[in-house]
Amino acid sequence: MAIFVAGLQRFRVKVGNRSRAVFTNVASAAKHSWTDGSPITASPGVPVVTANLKGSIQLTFPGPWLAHIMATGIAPDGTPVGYARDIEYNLRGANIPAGPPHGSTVGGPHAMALTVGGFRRLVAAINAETPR
Amino acid sequence: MTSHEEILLALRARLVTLSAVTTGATDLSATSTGYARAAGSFLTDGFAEGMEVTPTGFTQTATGVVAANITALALPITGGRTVQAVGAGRSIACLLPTARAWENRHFVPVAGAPWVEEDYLPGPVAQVTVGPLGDVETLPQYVVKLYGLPKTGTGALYRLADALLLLFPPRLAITLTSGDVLRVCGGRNSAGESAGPAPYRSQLMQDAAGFAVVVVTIPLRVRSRNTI
Repeated sequence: MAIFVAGLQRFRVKVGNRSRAVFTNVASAAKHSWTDGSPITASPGVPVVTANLKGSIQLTFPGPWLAHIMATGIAPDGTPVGYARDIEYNLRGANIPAGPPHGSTVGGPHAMALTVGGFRRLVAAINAETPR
Repeated sequence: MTSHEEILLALRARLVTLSAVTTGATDLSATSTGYARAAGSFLTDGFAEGMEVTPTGFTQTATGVVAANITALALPITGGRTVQAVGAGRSIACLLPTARAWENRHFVPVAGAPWVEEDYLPGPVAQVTVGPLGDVETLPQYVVKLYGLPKTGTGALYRLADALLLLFPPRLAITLTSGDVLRVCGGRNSAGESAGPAPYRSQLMQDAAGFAVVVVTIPLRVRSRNTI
């Protein structure tokens, strides 16, 4: 009986650790899909010239099983990024400055929408590649 | 394999049938300030300031934009209308704006006129069943941007966006000419799984000078047979 209980305990720990790994890696992959693009979600990633927009998108873990990926609107150096919304929705908005981010050779619009749309595939991919 | 052009044209064909608000066939007249009726209510019908309306059954068939101070019996139109006595079987409807920025077509917005813009996102592709000739699943998205007039409240853009979401409900199936079936995401299969979120809309945002905008995103999925 003791051996069974010990085995059950090891299994519980293993499942817990794996669940933690899948959760953390999915959150990281989703953030990466938004900012850098992903073949799994078809997100192009955000345009990068100054890296202000990319740097303004932050991943945080406010709870044990809660991850937030947010466009904060502020670059790491404090520069306001007022055009994040226009880039995401591909608007012709007045907020888009001349030059960047239209001068970018990478990234594109709808990076967040495509990440959300392909989220299940992202989870499946991370789950498949996480050791059992 | 999936034809993205076929998908886009099918989505666009459905989009242009959008009708947000209508009087239905009724007795209406045109006045120097807009439209009038003796019974019924433009307010109850759902008309709102900033809507582009299409008249039917009138001599003047050009669209107009609803101005402020709508009442039950009077629908003011910016610039007024050509006066015409009351007649039966006429209607006024708020449809998809007639100014449409289709993908890769030249378009310049006109101040004071609502307009619509589409973005088609081809989305990721993966074979989702095993073996030769397996199912290849594609997850496209259709993004429709509804541009309206600023400082006119929420009525016009909200009602147009609501109607658009109703036009593309979760699980809606559109059969393409290839025989493939394009489905709107958000429904669930017997295992309780969903291929993606249901259609959703953005908050109302102020965009380039002269326009407010609401963005409606329609996640989709389509399966086709692999060729090998």
